[in-house]
Amino acid sequence: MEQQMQKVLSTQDLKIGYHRKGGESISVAKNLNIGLRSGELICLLGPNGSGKSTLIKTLAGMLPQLEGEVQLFENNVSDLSAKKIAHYLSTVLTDRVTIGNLSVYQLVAFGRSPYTGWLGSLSREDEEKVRWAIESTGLHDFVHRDISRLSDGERQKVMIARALAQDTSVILLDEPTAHLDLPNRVEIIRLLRKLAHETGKGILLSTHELDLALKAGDRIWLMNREQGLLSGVPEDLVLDGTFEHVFRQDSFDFDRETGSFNIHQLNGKEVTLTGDTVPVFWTRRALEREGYRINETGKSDIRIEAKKVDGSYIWLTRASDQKEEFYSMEALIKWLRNKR
Amino acid sequence: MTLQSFPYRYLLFVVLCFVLSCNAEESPKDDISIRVSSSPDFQVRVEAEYAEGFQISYHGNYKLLKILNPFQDQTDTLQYVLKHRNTSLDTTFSNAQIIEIPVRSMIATSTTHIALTDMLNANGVIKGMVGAEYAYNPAIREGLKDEEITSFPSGEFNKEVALAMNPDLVMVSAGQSSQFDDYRVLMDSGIGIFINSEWLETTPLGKAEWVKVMGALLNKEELANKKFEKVAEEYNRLKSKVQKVSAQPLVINNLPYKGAWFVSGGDSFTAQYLKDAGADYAWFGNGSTGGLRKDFETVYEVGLRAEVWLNPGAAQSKEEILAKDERFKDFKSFKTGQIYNNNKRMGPTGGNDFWESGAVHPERLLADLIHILHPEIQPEHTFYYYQKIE
Amino acid sequence: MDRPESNTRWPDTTLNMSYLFLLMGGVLLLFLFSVALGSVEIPLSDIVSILFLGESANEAWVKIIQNIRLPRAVTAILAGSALSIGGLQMQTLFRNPLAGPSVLGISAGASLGVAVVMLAAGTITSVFAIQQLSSAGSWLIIGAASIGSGAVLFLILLISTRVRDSVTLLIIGLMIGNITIALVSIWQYFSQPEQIRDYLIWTFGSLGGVTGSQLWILTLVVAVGSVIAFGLSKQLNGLLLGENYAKSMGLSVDTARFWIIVSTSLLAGGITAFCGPIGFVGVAVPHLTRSLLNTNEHRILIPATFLMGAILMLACDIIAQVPGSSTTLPISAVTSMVGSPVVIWVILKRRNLKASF
Repeated sequence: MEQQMQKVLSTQDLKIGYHRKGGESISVAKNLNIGLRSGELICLLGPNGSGKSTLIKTLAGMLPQLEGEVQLFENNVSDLSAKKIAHYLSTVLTDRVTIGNLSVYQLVAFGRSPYTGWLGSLSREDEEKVRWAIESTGLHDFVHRDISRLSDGERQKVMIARALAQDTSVILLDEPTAHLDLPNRVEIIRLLRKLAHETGKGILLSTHELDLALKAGDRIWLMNREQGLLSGVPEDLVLDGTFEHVFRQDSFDFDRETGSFNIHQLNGKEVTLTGDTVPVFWTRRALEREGYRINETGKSDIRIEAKKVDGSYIWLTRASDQKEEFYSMEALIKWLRNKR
Repeated sequence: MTLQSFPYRYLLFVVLCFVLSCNAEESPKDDISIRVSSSPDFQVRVEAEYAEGFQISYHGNYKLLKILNPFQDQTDTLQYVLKHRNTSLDTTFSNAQIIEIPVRSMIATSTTHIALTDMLNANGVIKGMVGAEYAYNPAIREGLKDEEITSFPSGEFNKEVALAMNPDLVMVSAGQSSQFDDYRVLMDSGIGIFINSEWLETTPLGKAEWVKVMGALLNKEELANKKFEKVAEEYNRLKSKVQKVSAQPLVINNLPYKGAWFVSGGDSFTAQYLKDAGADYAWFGNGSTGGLRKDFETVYEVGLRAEVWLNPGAAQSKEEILAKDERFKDFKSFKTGQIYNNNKRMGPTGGNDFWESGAVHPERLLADLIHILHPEIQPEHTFYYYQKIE
Repeated sequence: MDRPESNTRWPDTTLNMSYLFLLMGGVLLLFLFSVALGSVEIPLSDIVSILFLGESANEAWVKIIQNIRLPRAVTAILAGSALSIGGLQMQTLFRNPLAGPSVLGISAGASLGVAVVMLAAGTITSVFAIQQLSSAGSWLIIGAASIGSGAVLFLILLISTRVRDSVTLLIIGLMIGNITIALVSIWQYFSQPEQIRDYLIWTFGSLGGVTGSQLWILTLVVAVGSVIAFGLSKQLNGLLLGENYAKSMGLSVDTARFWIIVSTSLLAGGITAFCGPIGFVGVAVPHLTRSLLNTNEHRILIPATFLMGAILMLACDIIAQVPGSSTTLPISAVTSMVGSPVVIWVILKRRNLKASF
């Protein structure tokens, strides 16, 4: 467990951004003090444009640090050669790989580049690492497949396998689940978690998908234009209101109770919802869609109780001391709309 | 794997190297040092009087021919040692090409080369001709038809056929610099490459005098002297007659192409003819020896008042000229009918004798021009190269 | 997690050399064809005896084979392979299927050099060339072309140290090429028709003008350029995934780009200087090779492209000679005329060309 705690990547007062012509530089975020430990999966979360890619590229040594330091183990990244960095740290980028005429195996084998000789010939050890990477990502059925004939999800897995083959302590992934459908997304995240925990790698992935980050991350780095980067275990960040605070500024409405954004415009009315777990969960969704703010304890004008009775669902409503019963969500919603 | 991928590249290079070594010829010998045998004397010698592009000197059993660069201070640019076949030299030359004389067979690359041999009654030496379709000379055309003369198509010079023919000499015009590499191969194989830069001469007589060079190559100096002397005498006689006339009619020449009108420069070969024939020319003051690119407007203005219009492209009639551009009907020469073209003697396949024998017979050409510009000098003259465009 | 290690059919990663042998056989065959066919008919027995013993009853035949056909066939191999490898590197560096060896304006630079010499000086040039003819061979045009392409190369390298983005570099290269071509056309506009004709003949390209010491130098240039390219295989493989990925895998992209440009310039500049501009081969052969071999692995692709380029150029040269006639066609036209249908055929047949990029 001691090894798990080792800090593999950390920053001190890091300022990230771009150099512009004439020495001027554009800062995207500053005063970043963060640390990635081995064996943990960190989700870097933030809205588009908050600097997630910039941070990942700076950590990977692809962009210069404007101020501060990035430490990879005991070394300052800017002192290391690209080859040396590649021994410690591998990256999966958003750059689309569109080439073909290359097998999955060949592409994964490219990951051995930092270790191979001037021509890139694979040694026995290299081959073993490549095979291991392919097996770990469950790609053994695709070994001979041309990469132009892979689905997006498969291709992303190949790129991850390539990073694995690079045999580094740190893997950075920039938006690895973008453009993927739900099953693929889940599969990738599951794979990354497993890798982090089983192989002791420190994995940092950036995403703008909140629920994914909340569910997957051992910790979350929340990027935010005003306060810089906030770090913590997801649930802590939810409970201490950090999420709510950060996202409210973006005219989002983060719901602490559900851990998700409210995408619906509120109509200003409140409903008290009680009842059995399953019908309450779904009723809540329907009501939120209709723009109601939900509470469970309050004494609102409208009160709804959702119950399961003999294998079917029933909704008991009370508004202005008028009681009614509904047997479908559709009927309930129709009633609510008429009340407005 | 590194080891596995290597030998094939090596193999390839070995193959390449093998191939290269097959043709690795020694570089051409610049130095000649062979012992003497006999030394024939050269009784009749030629000497350049008008031409600026060559010099020839006679030494024991060889002639030293220098092709000069008439545009720069540099004296000699290219040296040929002409030595008798079956004799050897006792002098060492660096930077000289040896040509054995008399030349028995040659490939001509320009119709003017035919004119040179024709003047020396030596058409028989021509065994190959590049651009044969432009030859006018009936004897040469006959030879081409009977396949005694090999026809080389224009474009890249076919070295294989030339090598198989193995002529003594290939006569090349100096302008085709892009093809010099082609000729090198022939030189390396022992075929003489002679650079004929007669076209760089700026005077008609200078150009015609290159017949003497041909004479030296064929050991026909006596005939060359005799023929050229006649030409020069006649040319100078005509020229001196013109000097007495007072009025000099204004002349324009050529046709525009896509808005650009190439006229002859003031020091050009054509301008020299115009001077000698007693013409006035708008660009005499220009020092260019080549053509001048003028816009249509500039020449049009001159054309409106010019009395004579020479060489309007390939036109055979006034209608053809008008078909090119309606505006030509405003030209004074068009109204008076004073338009002359040099295409009276055309071969069936497009050869024009003006460019062929005209090179060695400037006196005929001058006589034609004088007849156009000052008909009173030789009223009985009939056109040789020129014809009036009706 | 179940790991069916025993079930997985792992690829044999030792490079498959059989293709290279096949291609090498093709080169050899076409090389022999190229030597055997020409305007002058030479019996096969004589060709064999000239090739291996250097003698024949007919002295002219020996000269034709040794002084004309062998140098031209070797030049064809050099030109085809050099342009193809140059094109391959440009396509990989810029990840653009339309890139070719001339994309950085190097060929245009060579053309400008030649145009300056041929058009500006006019007759003086001719006389210079006369002088050259009497001494060590016509280096004038080669020198001018080398200076021209060298100047553009220098400019591109200078820019490449400042511009880190390859696409920007590509566009800058194209623009420099455009400027150069514009300069040439202005020059042409003010030149004598005979001079333009001379220049035009040069632009048709020729494989037959490289002999003697020139051939040695060209061989050296192509060898150096090709060895550099082969040495860059690993970097080129990495660049297939884009510069960021290449960097993330520990490849130093800036150094790789520098050497790629140097190699391509040597290859394209050298060939343009000695043979004139020869189009098409550099763009098409890499596609052809990738498509036929089904690989993007540069350790195989570079030697295969080298050989494929040689094959295509030899074939085009044989066609350009119009065997049995005394006519020849300009090589540059033949490469496009013969090569394009071949590429179309391959695309339609294999349908994997598009997947290359």
